[in-house]
Amino acid sequence: MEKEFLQIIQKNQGIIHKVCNIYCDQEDDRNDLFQEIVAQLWRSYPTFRKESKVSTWMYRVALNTAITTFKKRKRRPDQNRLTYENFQLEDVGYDTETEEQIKSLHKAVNNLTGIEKSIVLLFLENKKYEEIAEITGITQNYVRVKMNRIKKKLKKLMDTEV
Amino acid sequence: MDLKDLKNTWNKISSAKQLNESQLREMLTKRTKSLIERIDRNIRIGFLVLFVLILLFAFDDFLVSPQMLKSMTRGVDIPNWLIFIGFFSNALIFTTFVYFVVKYYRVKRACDVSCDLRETLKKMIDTLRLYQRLFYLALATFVVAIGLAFVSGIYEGGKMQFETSGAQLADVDAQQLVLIVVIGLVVLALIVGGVFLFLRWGFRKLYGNYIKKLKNTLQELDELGNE
Repeated sequence: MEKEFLQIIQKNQGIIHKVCNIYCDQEDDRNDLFQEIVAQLWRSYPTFRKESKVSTWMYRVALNTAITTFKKRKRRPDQNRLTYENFQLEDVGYDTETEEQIKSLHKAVNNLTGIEKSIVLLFLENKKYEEIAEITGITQNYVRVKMNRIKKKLKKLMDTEV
Repeated sequence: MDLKDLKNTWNKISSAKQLNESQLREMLTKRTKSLIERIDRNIRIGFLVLFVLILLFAFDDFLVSPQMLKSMTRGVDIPNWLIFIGFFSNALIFTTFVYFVVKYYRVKRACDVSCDLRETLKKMIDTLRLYQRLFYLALATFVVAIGLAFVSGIYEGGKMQFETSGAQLADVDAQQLVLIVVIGLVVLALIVGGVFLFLRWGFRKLYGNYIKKLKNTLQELDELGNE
Protein backbone atom coordinates (compact mmCIF):
# COMPACT_ATOMS: atom_id res chain seq x y z
CA MET A 1 0.00 0.00 0.00
CA GLU A 2 2.84 2.37 0.87
CA LYS A 3 4.45 1.97 -2.53
CA GLU A 4 1.18 2.64 -4.32
CA PHE A 5 0.61 5.69 -2.14
CA LEU A 6 4.09 7.08 -2.76
CA GLN A 7 3.69 6.65 -6.49
CA ILE A 8 0.44 8.62 -6.41
CA ILE A 9 2.06 11.40 -4.38
CA GLN A 10 5.13 11.51 -6.58
CA LYS A 11 2.99 11.74 -9.69
CA ASN A 12 0.69 14.44 -8.27
CA GLN A 13 3.08 16.33 -6.00
CA GLY A 14 2.52 19.50 -8.03
CA ILE A 15 -0.83 19.86 -6.23
CA ILE A 16 0.87 19.90 -2.83
CA HIS A 17 3.57 22.31 -3.99
CA LYS A 18 0.96 24.72 -5.32
CA VAL A 19 -1.03 24.62 -2.09
CA CYS A 20 2.15 25.21 -0.09
CA ASN A 21 3.18 28.07 -2.36
CA ILE A 22 -0.12 29.88 -2.03
CA TYR A 23 -0.36 29.47 1.77
CA CYS A 24 3.24 30.01 2.87
CA ASP A 25 5.56 32.84 2.08
CA GLN A 26 8.74 31.31 3.48
CA GLU A 27 10.76 28.27 2.52
CA ASP A 28 10.77 26.70 6.01
CA ASP A 29 7.01 27.05 6.32
CA ARG A 30 6.52 25.56 2.88
CA ASN A 31 8.67 22.53 3.73
CA ASP A 32 6.84 22.00 7.04
CA LEU A 33 3.46 22.26 5.36
CA PHE A 34 4.51 19.93 2.54
CA GLN A 35 5.53 17.28 5.07
CA GLU A 36 2.34 17.75 7.07
CA ILE A 37 0.16 17.41 3.97
CA VAL A 38 1.96 14.21 2.91
CA ALA A 39 1.48 12.84 6.43
CA GLN A 40 -2.23 13.68 6.43
CA LEU A 41 -2.66 12.15 2.97
CA TRP A 42 -1.02 8.97 4.24
CA ARG A 43 -3.33 8.91 7.26
CA SER A 44 -6.44 9.29 5.14
CA TYR A 45 -5.26 7.00 2.32
CA PRO A 46 -6.81 3.81 3.78
CA THR A 47 -10.25 5.49 3.74
CA PHE A 48 -9.83 6.89 0.23
CA ARG A 49 -12.19 4.71 -1.76
CA LYS A 50 -11.38 6.15 -5.16
CA GLU A 51 -15.00 7.27 -5.57
CA SER A 52 -13.70 10.75 -6.23
CA LYS A 53 -10.72 11.68 -8.37
CA VAL A 54 -7.25 11.42 -6.84
CA SER A 55 -6.75 15.14 -7.50
CA THR A 56 -10.01 16.02 -5.67
CA TRP A 57 -8.98 13.94 -2.66
CA MET A 58 -5.49 15.47 -2.66
CA TYR A 59 -6.77 19.05 -2.96
CA ARG A 60 -9.25 18.42 -0.15
CA VAL A 61 -6.68 17.03 2.28
CA ALA A 62 -4.03 19.56 1.26
CA LEU A 63 -6.33 22.58 1.61
CA ASN A 64 -7.84 21.33 4.88
CA THR A 65 -4.35 20.86 6.27
CA ALA A 66 -3.11 24.24 5.03
CA ILE A 67 -6.09 26.13 6.46
CA THR A 68 -6.06 24.35 9.82
CA THR A 69 -2.32 24.02 10.37
CA PHE A 70 -1.07 25.43 13.64
CA LYS A 71 1.96 27.67 13.27
CA LYS A 72 4.16 27.47 16.32
CA ARG A 73 6.58 30.18 15.34
CA LYS A 74 5.53 33.72 14.71
CA ARG A 75 7.27 35.08 11.69
CA ARG A 76 7.08 38.55 10.35
CA PRO A 77 6.17 38.35 6.70
CA ASP A 78 9.06 39.59 4.68
CA GLN A 79 7.59 41.47 1.77
CA ASN A 80 10.65 40.80 -0.36
CA ARG A 81 9.97 37.07 -0.19
CA LEU A 82 6.37 37.29 -1.29
CA THR A 83 7.40 37.52 -4.90
CA TYR A 84 8.10 34.82 -7.42
CA GLU A 85 11.67 34.41 -6.20
CA ASN A 86 10.96 31.19 -4.38
CA PHE A 87 9.27 29.62 -7.36
CA GLN A 88 10.98 28.03 -10.24
CA LEU A 89 9.68 29.57 -13.40
CA GLU A 90 9.07 27.53 -16.48
CA ASP A 91 11.51 28.33 -19.16
CA VAL A 92 9.22 30.59 -21.12
CA GLY A 93 11.52 33.54 -21.48
CA TYR A 94 9.49 35.85 -19.28
CA ASP A 95 9.84 39.56 -19.68
CA THR A 96 9.68 42.46 -17.25
CA GLU A 97 5.94 42.68 -17.65
CA THR A 98 5.47 39.02 -16.66
CA GLU A 99 7.81 39.50 -13.74
CA GLU A 100 5.69 42.41 -12.55
CA GLN A 101 2.52 40.38 -13.02
CA ILE A 102 3.89 37.54 -10.88
CA LYS A 103 4.90 39.96 -8.14
CA SER A 104 1.52 41.58 -8.29
CA LEU A 105 -0.29 38.21 -8.20
CA HIS A 106 1.60 37.01 -5.14
CA LYS A 107 1.14 40.23 -3.23
CA ALA A 108 -2.57 40.24 -3.99
CA VAL A 109 -3.12 36.56 -3.12
CA ASN A 110 -1.26 37.04 0.14
CA ASN A 111 -3.98 39.47 1.25
CA LEU A 112 -6.76 36.91 0.86
CA THR A 113 -8.22 34.84 3.70
CA GLY A 114 -7.58 31.08 3.97
CA ILE A 115 -10.86 30.16 2.28
CA GLU A 116 -10.44 32.79 -0.43
CA LYS A 117 -6.98 31.43 -1.18
CA SER A 118 -8.36 27.91 -1.57
CA ILE A 119 -11.08 29.06 -3.98
CA VAL A 120 -8.73 31.23 -6.01
CA LEU A 121 -6.17 28.42 -6.21
CA LEU A 122 -8.78 26.01 -7.58
CA PHE A 123 -10.00 28.68 -9.99
CA LEU A 124 -6.46 29.30 -11.25
CA GLU A 125 -6.07 25.54 -11.65
CA ASN A 126 -9.07 25.62 -14.02
CA LYS A 127 -11.31 23.59 -11.72
CA LYS A 128 -15.02 23.74 -12.47
CA TYR A 129 -17.39 25.25 -9.89
CA GLU A 130 -18.75 21.75 -9.30
CA GLU A 131 -15.34 20.42 -8.28
CA ILE A 132 -14.52 23.54 -6.23
CA ALA A 133 -17.80 22.97 -4.36
CA GLU A 134 -16.96 19.30 -3.81
CA ILE A 135 -13.53 20.15 -2.42
CA THR A 136 -14.55 23.05 -0.17
CA GLY A 137 -17.95 21.79 0.99
CA ILE A 138 -19.87 24.90 -0.09
CA THR A 139 -22.52 24.86 -2.80
CA GLN A 140 -21.77 25.81 -6.40
CA ASN A 141 -23.88 28.96 -6.10
CA TYR A 142 -21.91 30.17 -3.13
CA VAL A 143 -18.66 29.34 -4.90
CA ARG A 144 -19.83 31.63 -7.73
CA VAL A 145 -20.78 34.38 -5.29
CA LYS A 146 -17.49 34.05 -3.45
CA MET A 147 -15.49 33.92 -6.67
CA ASN A 148 -17.08 37.15 -7.92
CA ARG A 149 -16.14 38.85 -4.67
CA ILE A 150 -12.59 37.51 -4.83
CA LYS A 151 -12.24 38.74 -8.41
CA LYS A 152 -13.24 42.24 -7.33
CA LYS A 153 -10.95 42.08 -4.31
CA LEU A 154 -8.01 40.86 -6.38
CA LYS A 155 -8.59 43.49 -9.05
CA LYS A 156 -8.69 46.20 -6.42
CA LEU A 157 -5.54 44.88 -4.78
CA MET A 158 -3.68 44.64 -8.04
CA ASP A 159 -4.85 48.07 -9.20
CA THR A 160 -3.56 49.51 -5.93
CA GLU A 161 -0.23 47.86 -6.65
CA VAL A 162 -0.05 49.51 -10.06
CA MET B 1 -4.56 42.78 -15.10
CA ASP B 2 -7.80 40.84 -15.60
CA LEU B 3 -8.49 37.25 -14.55
CA LYS B 4 -7.43 35.79 -17.87
CA ASP B 5 -4.03 37.41 -17.42
CA LEU B 6 -4.00 36.16 -13.85
CA LYS B 7 -4.46 32.57 -15.03
CA ASN B 8 -1.75 33.00 -17.66
CA THR B 9 0.60 34.35 -15.01
CA TRP B 10 -0.24 31.47 -12.66
CA ASN B 11 0.47 28.94 -15.38
CA LYS B 12 3.98 30.32 -15.74
CA ILE B 13 4.74 29.39 -12.16
CA SER B 14 5.72 25.82 -11.51
CA SER B 15 6.93 23.86 -8.52
CA ALA B 16 10.48 24.40 -7.47
CA LYS B 17 11.12 20.85 -6.32
CA GLN B 18 10.27 17.42 -7.56
CA LEU B 19 10.78 14.87 -4.81
CA ASN B 20 11.49 11.26 -5.65
CA GLU B 21 9.94 8.19 -4.00
CA SER B 22 12.71 7.67 -1.44
CA GLN B 23 12.59 11.32 -0.35
CA LEU B 24 8.85 11.04 0.13
CA ARG B 25 9.27 7.78 2.08
CA GLU B 26 11.83 9.43 4.33
CA MET B 27 9.40 12.27 4.90
CA LEU B 28 6.78 9.78 6.10
CA THR B 29 9.14 8.00 8.50
CA LYS B 30 10.55 11.21 9.97
CA ARG B 31 7.26 12.99 10.44
CA THR B 32 6.35 14.42 13.82
CA LYS B 33 2.88 14.41 15.33
CA SER B 34 0.59 17.23 14.28
CA LEU B 35 -1.16 19.44 16.83
CA ILE B 36 -4.42 17.52 16.65
CA GLU B 37 -2.59 14.19 16.92
CA ARG B 38 -0.80 15.49 20.02
CA ILE B 39 -4.09 16.71 21.48
CA ASP B 40 -5.66 13.32 20.73
CA ARG B 41 -2.84 11.61 22.59
CA ASN B 42 -3.13 14.09 25.50
CA ILE B 43 -6.89 13.54 25.75
CA ARG B 44 -6.38 9.77 25.97
CA ILE B 45 -3.68 10.23 28.63
CA GLY B 46 -6.03 12.66 30.41
CA PHE B 47 -8.80 10.07 30.41
CA LEU B 48 -6.49 7.48 31.89
CA VAL B 49 -5.19 9.84 34.61
CA LEU B 50 -8.70 11.00 35.46
CA PHE B 51 -9.99 7.44 35.63
CA VAL B 52 -7.20 6.48 38.04
CA LEU B 53 -7.88 9.62 40.12
CA ILE B 54 -11.61 8.85 40.30
CA LEU B 55 -10.84 5.30 41.44
CA LEU B 56 -8.39 6.61 44.04
CA PHE B 57 -10.82 9.19 45.41
CA ALA B 58 -13.64 6.65 45.54
CA PHE B 59 -11.34 4.15 47.24
CA ASP B 60 -10.34 6.80 49.75
CA ASP B 61 -13.89 8.06 50.37
CA PHE B 62 -15.49 4.65 50.85
CA LEU B 63 -12.74 2.43 52.24
CA VAL B 64 -9.63 4.14 53.58
CA SER B 65 -11.08 7.20 55.32
CA PRO B 66 -13.94 5.38 57.15
CA GLN B 67 -11.53 2.68 58.39
CA MET B 68 -8.94 5.24 59.52
CA LEU B 69 -11.55 7.31 61.31
CA LYS B 70 -12.99 4.25 62.94
CA SER B 71 -9.63 3.28 64.38
CA MET B 72 -8.77 6.86 65.38
CA THR B 73 -12.09 7.71 66.97
CA ARG B 74 -12.86 4.33 68.46
CA GLY B 75 -16.14 3.51 66.81
CA VAL B 76 -17.34 6.95 65.73
CA ASP B 77 -18.82 6.41 62.26
CA ILE B 78 -19.06 8.87 59.43
CA PRO B 79 -22.68 10.10 59.26
CA ASN B 80 -24.90 8.93 56.44
CA TRP B 81 -25.33 12.39 54.93
CA LEU B 82 -21.55 12.67 54.44
CA ILE B 83 -21.41 9.21 52.87
CA PHE B 84 -24.27 10.22 50.58
CA ILE B 85 -22.48 13.41 49.49
CA GLY B 86 -19.33 11.40 48.80
CA PHE B 87 -21.24 8.81 46.81
CA PHE B 88 -23.23 11.43 44.90
CA SER B 89 -20.20 13.51 43.92
CA ASN B 90 -18.19 10.47 42.86
CA ALA B 91 -21.12 9.20 40.80
CA LEU B 92 -21.48 12.65 39.20
CA ILE B 93 -17.80 12.84 38.30
CA PHE B 94 -17.80 9.30 36.95
CA THR B 95 -20.91 9.96 34.82
CA THR B 96 -19.37 13.16 33.44
CA PHE B 97 -16.20 11.24 32.71
CA VAL B 98 -18.10 8.54 30.79
CA TYR B 99 -20.00 11.26 28.90
CA PHE B 100 -16.67 12.83 27.90
CA VAL B 101 -15.24 9.53 26.68
CA VAL B 102 -18.36 8.78 24.61
CA LYS B 103 -18.43 12.30 23.16
CA TYR B 104 -14.73 12.20 22.33
CA TYR B 105 -15.01 8.97 20.35
CA ARG B 106 -18.11 10.31 18.58
CA VAL B 107 -16.24 13.47 17.56
CA LYS B 108 -13.22 11.40 16.54
CA ARG B 109 -15.33 9.16 14.33
CA ALA B 110 -17.16 12.11 12.77
CA CYS B 111 -14.79 12.52 9.84
CA ASP B 112 -11.14 12.53 8.86
CA VAL B 113 -9.03 15.12 7.12
CA SER B 114 -10.46 14.15 3.73
CA CYS B 115 -13.91 15.50 4.68
CA ASP B 116 -14.92 18.86 3.35
CA LEU B 117 -13.53 21.96 5.02
CA ARG B 118 -16.61 22.77 7.10
CA GLU B 119 -16.74 19.29 8.69
CA THR B 120 -12.99 19.30 9.31
CA LEU B 121 -13.18 22.70 11.03
CA LYS B 122 -16.13 21.62 13.19
CA LYS B 123 -14.32 18.46 14.22
CA MET B 124 -11.17 20.34 15.19
CA ILE B 125 -13.07 22.98 17.17
CA ASP B 126 -15.05 20.24 18.97
CA THR B 127 -11.84 18.34 19.78
CA LEU B 128 -10.23 21.46 21.23
CA ARG B 129 -13.38 22.28 23.24
CA LEU B 130 -13.38 18.75 24.66
CA TYR B 131 -9.74 19.11 25.57
CA GLN B 132 -10.47 22.38 27.38
CA ARG B 133 -13.43 20.89 29.26
CA LEU B 134 -11.34 17.91 30.25
CA PHE B 135 -9.06 20.34 32.06
CA TYR B 136 -12.06 21.72 33.91
CA LEU B 137 -13.37 18.25 34.73
CA ALA B 138 -10.00 17.39 36.26
CA LEU B 139 -10.24 20.62 38.24
CA ALA B 140 -13.81 19.80 39.37
CA THR B 141 -12.66 16.37 40.53
CA PHE B 142 -9.88 18.00 42.49
CA VAL B 143 -12.26 20.57 44.02
CA VAL B 144 -14.82 17.95 45.05
CA ALA B 145 -12.13 15.80 46.65
CA ILE B 146 -10.68 18.75 48.58
CA GLY B 147 -14.14 20.06 49.50
CA LEU B 148 -15.25 16.69 50.84
CA ALA B 149 -12.04 16.27 52.80
CA PHE B 150 -12.53 19.75 54.25
CA VAL B 151 -16.16 19.17 55.29
CA SER B 152 -15.51 15.73 56.77
CA GLY B 153 -12.34 17.01 58.50
CA ILE B 154 -14.17 19.88 60.19
CA TYR B 155 -17.04 17.61 61.16
CA GLU B 156 -15.00 14.72 62.50
CA GLY B 157 -12.42 17.01 64.15
CA GLY B 158 -15.13 18.86 66.02
CA LYS B 159 -16.85 15.64 66.97
CA MET B 160 -13.61 14.14 68.24
CA GLN B 161 -12.95 17.19 70.39
CA PHE B 162 -16.42 16.91 71.87
CA GLU B 163 -15.92 13.22 72.59
CA THR B 164 -12.52 13.59 74.24
CA SER B 165 -13.27 16.69 76.29
CA GLY B 166 -16.81 15.73 77.20
CA ALA B 167 -17.99 19.18 76.14
CA GLN B 168 -21.45 20.10 74.85
CA LEU B 169 -22.30 22.03 71.68
CA ALA B 170 -23.37 24.97 73.81
CA ASP B 171 -19.81 25.24 75.20
CA VAL B 172 -18.30 25.87 71.79
CA ASP B 173 -17.24 29.39 70.99
CA ALA B 174 -19.45 30.05 67.97
CA GLN B 175 -17.26 32.92 66.73
CA GLN B 176 -14.18 30.72 66.72
CA LEU B 177 -15.99 27.95 64.86
CA VAL B 178 -17.29 30.38 62.23
CA LEU B 179 -13.79 31.88 61.88
CA ILE B 180 -12.24 28.44 61.27
CA VAL B 181 -14.87 27.59 58.67
CA VAL B 182 -14.48 30.97 56.92
CA ILE B 183 -10.66 30.73 56.85
CA GLY B 184 -10.92 27.17 55.50
CA LEU B 185 -13.32 28.27 52.77
CA VAL B 186 -11.14 31.25 51.80
CA VAL B 187 -8.04 29.02 51.54
CA LEU B 188 -10.02 26.50 49.48
CA ALA B 189 -11.36 29.24 47.20
CA LEU B 190 -7.83 30.64 46.72
CA ILE B 191 -6.41 27.24 45.80
CA VAL B 192 -9.29 26.42 43.44
CA GLY B 193 -9.32 29.92 41.93
CA GLY B 194 -5.55 29.85 41.44
CA VAL B 195 -5.59 26.44 39.75
CA PHE B 196 -8.56 27.43 37.58
CA LEU B 197 -6.95 30.70 36.47
CA PHE B 198 -3.64 28.97 35.80
CA LEU B 199 -5.28 26.28 33.66
CA ARG B 200 -7.36 28.82 31.76
CA TRP B 201 -4.36 31.06 31.15
CA GLY B 202 -2.24 28.11 30.00
CA PHE B 203 -4.91 26.85 27.64
CA ARG B 204 -5.54 30.27 26.12
CA LYS B 205 -1.82 30.89 25.75
CA LEU B 206 -1.32 27.58 23.96
CA TYR B 207 -4.44 27.33 21.83
CA GLY B 208 -6.37 30.63 22.16
CA ASN B 209 -5.26 32.16 18.85
CA TYR B 210 -5.59 28.87 17.05
CA ILE B 211 -9.19 28.32 18.20
CA LYS B 212 -10.01 31.91 17.24
CA LYS B 213 -8.55 31.38 13.77
CA LEU B 214 -10.54 28.17 13.27
CA LYS B 215 -13.76 29.82 14.47
CA ASN B 216 -13.26 32.80 12.17
CA THR B 217 -12.73 30.51 9.20
CA LEU B 218 -15.84 28.51 10.05
CA GLN B 219 -17.79 31.73 10.50
CA GLU B 220 -16.65 32.87 7.04
CA LEU B 221 -17.97 29.61 5.58
CA ASP B 222 -21.25 29.84 7.51
CA GLU B 223 -21.83 33.47 6.53
CA LEU B 224 -21.45 32.42 2.93
CA GLY B 225 -23.91 29.56 3.43
CA ASN B 226 -26.49 31.79 5.09
CA GLU B 227 -26.63 34.39 2.34
